[in-house]
Amino acid sequence: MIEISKLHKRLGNKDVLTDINFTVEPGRIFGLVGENGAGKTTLIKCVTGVYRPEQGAVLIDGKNVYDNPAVKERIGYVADQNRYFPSYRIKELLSFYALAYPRFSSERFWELNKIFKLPATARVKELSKGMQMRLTLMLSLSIRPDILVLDEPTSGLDPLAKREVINLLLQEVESRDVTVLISSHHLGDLERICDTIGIMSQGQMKSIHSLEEMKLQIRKLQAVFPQGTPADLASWPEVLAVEKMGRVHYIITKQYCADLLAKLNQAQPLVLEEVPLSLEDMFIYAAKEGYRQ
Amino acid sequence: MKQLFPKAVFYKEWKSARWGLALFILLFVSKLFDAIQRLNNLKELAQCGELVVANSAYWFQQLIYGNSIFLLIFVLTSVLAYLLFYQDRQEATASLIGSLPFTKEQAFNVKWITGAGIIVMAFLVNGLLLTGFYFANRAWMFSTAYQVIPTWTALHLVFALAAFSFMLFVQCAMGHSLAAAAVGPIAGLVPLFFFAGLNDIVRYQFNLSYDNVVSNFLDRLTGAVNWLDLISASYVQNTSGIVCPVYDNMPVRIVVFLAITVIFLWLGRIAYQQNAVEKSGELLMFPFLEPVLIYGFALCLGLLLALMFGLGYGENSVLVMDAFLVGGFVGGWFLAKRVVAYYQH
Amino acid sequence: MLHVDVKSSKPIYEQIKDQIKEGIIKGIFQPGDKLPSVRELSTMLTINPNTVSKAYQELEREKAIETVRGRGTFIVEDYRPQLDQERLQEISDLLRKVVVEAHYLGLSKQQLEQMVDDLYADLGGEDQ
Repeated sequence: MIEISKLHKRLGNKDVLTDINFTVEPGRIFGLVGENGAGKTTLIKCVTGVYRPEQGAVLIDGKNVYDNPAVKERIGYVADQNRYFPSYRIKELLSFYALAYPRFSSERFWELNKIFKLPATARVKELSKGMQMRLTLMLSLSIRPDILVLDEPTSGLDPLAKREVINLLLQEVESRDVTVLISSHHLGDLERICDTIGIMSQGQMKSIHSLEEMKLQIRKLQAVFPQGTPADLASWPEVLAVEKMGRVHYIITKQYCADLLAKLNQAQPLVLEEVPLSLEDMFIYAAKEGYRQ
Repeated sequence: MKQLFPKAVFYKEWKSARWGLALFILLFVSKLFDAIQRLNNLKELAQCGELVVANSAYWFQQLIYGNSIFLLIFVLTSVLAYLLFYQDRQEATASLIGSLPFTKEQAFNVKWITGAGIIVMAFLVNGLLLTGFYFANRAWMFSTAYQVIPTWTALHLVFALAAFSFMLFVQCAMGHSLAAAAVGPIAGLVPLFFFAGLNDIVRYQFNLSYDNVVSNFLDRLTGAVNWLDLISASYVQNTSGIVCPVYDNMPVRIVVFLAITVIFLWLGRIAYQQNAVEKSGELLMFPFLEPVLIYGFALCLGLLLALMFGLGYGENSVLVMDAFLVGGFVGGWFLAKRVVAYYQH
Repeated sequence: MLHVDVKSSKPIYEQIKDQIKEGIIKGIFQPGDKLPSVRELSTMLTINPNTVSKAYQELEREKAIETVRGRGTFIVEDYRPQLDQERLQEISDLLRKVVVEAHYLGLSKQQLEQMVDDLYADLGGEDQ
């Protein structure tokens, strides 16, 4: 379990992270979405114990991560740049990992390598950026981690490779209940696989939502009320926002339920139907209206 | 043992620093090559019947004790410290090292132990080679006692350990390993020339005699910080009138170097514990060192320029000297400021 | 046979649930058929295994599938779809639209009923 509370981090004289709070339950996948420079990498480096938090706590199963090997040996970390000891050969990296991580298994590595087929004698610097990422991913899975942290692992990969990488992750989550923190600047890469999505912008966590929950609760209805719109519609507890276009009202719900429909039907609408709402739009409405689960 | 010395960290440090060992051994055997050359000369002289044993009675001792290799040790220990740090200071690698399951204390311990081990091994190899040479050519050693080799080796070993601890400390305090490798040896030499230079400048500026209070004080300060004395042999004339280099006060010398080792080991450890990964690649790890570096560099440059170009223009050139002093200071200040700013992220 | 539409506002686990139930009714899944494991399905669809688990759990609760320890997950022998009040409302709404549309087109009630009968015949002729 990852618990982050009141985390602040400055780099140089810039506040890169301000008041970050969230929790990732064991066996869950938490997706971190935000544009470049939003603070995702800094947050990830705090979670993996690379950076020392200025304020607040980064706890893994209740223990501080920074300078704590007992916790760090359970974390697999795939960074945004993986030029790890560029002059090392792959087999040398394996020896190093075997010494560094008590649970490391080279059998597991070679089993995983059946997919990617990296040559054992290749040097890290000879591999392409994508290959270096895959190498680090395989090494990180071979240490049998309880926590996996991945910084934009899908960026720069073609769709096929992206799928291979994601599937490897999903299998790990399924078979070993690994807790995953994964970042991307593209919501589309993460929406299929994450339990929860956190949106970051300018060093702040703008929203944290469970996707399934959000899709159930946040919906868009279009309605026409020929006999007059309920006066306080926008302030109903179930309603997030109301937009009007001509005679049509678009109601964005934050608590979609039968009660709400019954209440709306009391106003005898001419039309009352649900219209599709994209995930992006859900996030935009949620962020704009300060929606909290 | 695992707590103090994780094998994985040693694997990594040894892989980076092992070339340092080769370098050390290669350069240290220079003494041996010198000795072989001198021996051949002696043998030639003996063949021609021109060898005067009394004049060459201490040739081996002179060869070992003379020709100080302190600068070589300075440069080599600095290279060694650089080899142990250059990966840590590359941003991408630094992040990954930061995520490894080791404490900073363990990482620092292994760095020091690896480096110190390489130094000990290098001196051991060198000492053994010299010993072999000594006994193989026992007949040609004349009055030189065997103690010369262990004495020299022991003294230079503790000196090298002190120098290495200092270089490691400089690496811990700076974020840019190559810059630290250059700054280390220079910073080690600064106290040697700083007070001596200051003494000259002050004396000239205020037209003081050599026997002045201020001058005397600066003289004594110069003497106090002149650690070079600690590894130089003093020359004494023995009963047969031959001048021969000896190391007196060996225990004091060794204790001083061991004390320096411990102090910089301790300082380096504190500094390394406070190292932040995000500062890798920046010139300095700690902001409070910025004025030290900037003003230190400015002051030294001012002194150096004043000594080099300011003095020796005759009686009435105090103005010229001051101009170089101030000019060097201001120029050095701007230069250092620019360099620091350039490396700051 | 199963697919997910991430752009849909329907949660992914519900999409899987509905597709499996629909598959049972259409006869694509026969009683006793083995379903892919959570791992297989999550990899096949590239979705979170927790999502697949949730769909399977709910299907099990609704007695559409059963898990035999060590052997896998199977379609039950006699699945009876339960009537969900909310879904019932949805269907009634959809039906209203169709009836109104049919009325405008001038279709008679008999013609519409004939169409419904034909559709049922396509589904497997059973009297659901």
